[in-house]
Amino acid sequence: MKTRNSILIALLSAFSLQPSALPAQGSLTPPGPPAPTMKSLDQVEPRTPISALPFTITASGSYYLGTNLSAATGNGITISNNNVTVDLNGFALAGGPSSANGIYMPASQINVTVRNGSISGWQNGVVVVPNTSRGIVLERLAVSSCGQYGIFSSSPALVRNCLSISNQYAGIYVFGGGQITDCDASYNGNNGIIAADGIVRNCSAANNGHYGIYATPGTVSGCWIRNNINSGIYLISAGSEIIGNTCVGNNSSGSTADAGIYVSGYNNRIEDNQVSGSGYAGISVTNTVNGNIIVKNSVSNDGPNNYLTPGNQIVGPLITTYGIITNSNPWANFSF
Amino acid sequence: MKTRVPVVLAAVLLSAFLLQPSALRAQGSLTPPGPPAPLMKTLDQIEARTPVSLLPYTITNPGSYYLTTNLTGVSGANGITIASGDVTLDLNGFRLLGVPGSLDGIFVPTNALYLNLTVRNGTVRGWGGSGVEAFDGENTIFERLIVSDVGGFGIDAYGSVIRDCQVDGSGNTGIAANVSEIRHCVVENCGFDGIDAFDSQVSDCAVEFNLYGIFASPGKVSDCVIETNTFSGIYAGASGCQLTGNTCLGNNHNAGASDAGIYLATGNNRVEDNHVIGSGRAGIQVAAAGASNNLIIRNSVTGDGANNYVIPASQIIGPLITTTGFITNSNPWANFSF
Repeated sequence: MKTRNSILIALLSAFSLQPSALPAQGSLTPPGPPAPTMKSLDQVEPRTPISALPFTITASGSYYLGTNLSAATGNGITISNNNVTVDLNGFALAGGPSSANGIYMPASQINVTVRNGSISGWQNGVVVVPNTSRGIVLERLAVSSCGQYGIFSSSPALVRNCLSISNQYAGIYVFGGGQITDCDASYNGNNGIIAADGIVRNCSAANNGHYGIYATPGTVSGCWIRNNINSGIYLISAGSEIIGNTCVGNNSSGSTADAGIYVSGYNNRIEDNQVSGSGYAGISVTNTVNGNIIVKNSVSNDGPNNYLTPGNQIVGPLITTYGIITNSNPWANFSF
Repeated sequence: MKTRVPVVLAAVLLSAFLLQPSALRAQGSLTPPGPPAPLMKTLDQIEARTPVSLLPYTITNPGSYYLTTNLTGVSGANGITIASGDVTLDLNGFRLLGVPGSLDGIFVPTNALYLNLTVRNGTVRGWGGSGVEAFDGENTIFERLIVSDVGGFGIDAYGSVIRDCQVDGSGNTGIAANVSEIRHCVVENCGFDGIDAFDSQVSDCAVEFNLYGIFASPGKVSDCVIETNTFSGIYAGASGCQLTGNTCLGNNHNAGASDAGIYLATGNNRVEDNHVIGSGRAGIQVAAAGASNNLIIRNSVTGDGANNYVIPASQIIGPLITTTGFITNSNPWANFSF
């Protein structure tokens, strides 16, 4: 009896005195609280999907399309809050014959971005109604076949890398400032681009039914403007710069109130443009305005109407003779 | 013997229980918090686009499509045919790989005039036809594409914006575009022209080791680097071109008589602020017949000696500054020849 008890005690002691590493189950001390190994679906795609039209955004956030959407009547997506991003995600917003606006901002908003998809068939593709919105960005949109405007903004907006074609009125209209850069507005029924108090840079405007670019006023630079029915660039109001553009084959209507570049405002600067093959006139200034600077341009193929600059303008002398240029006036225009 | 819990004690215990704040009750409030809210997103909401998993593939519905893996074509077929407007195709960083006898990597059917197409973000390689054949699309965007070793055009497009693309080793012209804008592209080693720009604008591109570098008919070509092309670096094939701020190096190494670093085949073009070096036979040249009214000012040309400028009558050209040392000629339109 005593021997058995001793053996038991010895075994028990041996077991108790072993290092904790030897027991097969390992340490009994928990390593720590369980760590997450999954992501929720909301973490994988936290944006709010837009699944049907009409859709009204009333909360700030990021939204995206999950499929093509269409509407026969009314607006498509109405944005009624600040700090909103809408990613069309490569999908299309299609409007029917009685539809209104594909993207619609009826009230003043701040920091709204719309991007990355196609918009077609609406009365207007994108509309920003009031002139008090700020921080509007429209990018990577392909807009076409709208009944009036492809893109219309009464507020200053940044419109970049957009295409807007075959709309019945104008391709892109931005009022009150902003920038239109790296865009193409062609084959529209009326004007390609209308810009008021803004910048138009590195854009193309071709084969539009009225003006290629209508600036009232603005800076237009580095653009390629071709084959528009009326003026390639039509400038109204004061204080614009029209610099470094190429205007070819515009004013095919031959209108006497149009030209490759037509100026109907005061105190503008027309510089370094290449104008050729315009109907009626190359660079023309209406006779009711003064103070326009016209320098370092090259105009050809309108003969005596290459430059029509009545009134009190500041015009570089015309170099018209072939051969080596001997006129060292740095402001000279070329006429041939 | 039975033991009874005193009644008073039971009452005390019961009262203590009833008088405790509800927060202490383990089950919480019994008032429902509200209707059940959605907690899930469907997988279609997570990734709404349509995957393209096999070639050949034809897109017939508007929408957004993407690759999920590298795809290999089959002989006698196109890779992806886009037979609808309003389509975005994201290659998602993957490759469309052609095989011998294959046709076009991405194809828009002839006379279709589909609008609003976007293709982006991947590699198109090894096709027997063109990498991207989209002449019959319009209002299209091609961006961030690498097109290489195709038998036809690298990219053939109409009414497009082509930006941030690389084309290497196409059998035909690298980028052929009508009424388009081509920006920030690299085009090299093509069997025909690097870029054909018809009524188009080309800017900030690098074009080298092609037959012609840039063929503009007409076009606005600015701020490009055009190097070591077999024939002209820039060839102006129609009136109204504006060629500004380009660098043309080592072109026309075939020394063709109707080629140059910059060659004007027509009139009414403006060539300004270009730097032309080491061209075969001539730096800036105007065709001997049928070309007049070209304006050539403020360029610098070197490496062709007496042929730095080959300018027939009926052009307008700034005087040539040919002497080294301090410049004393103050004519603002002067060209440099050395």
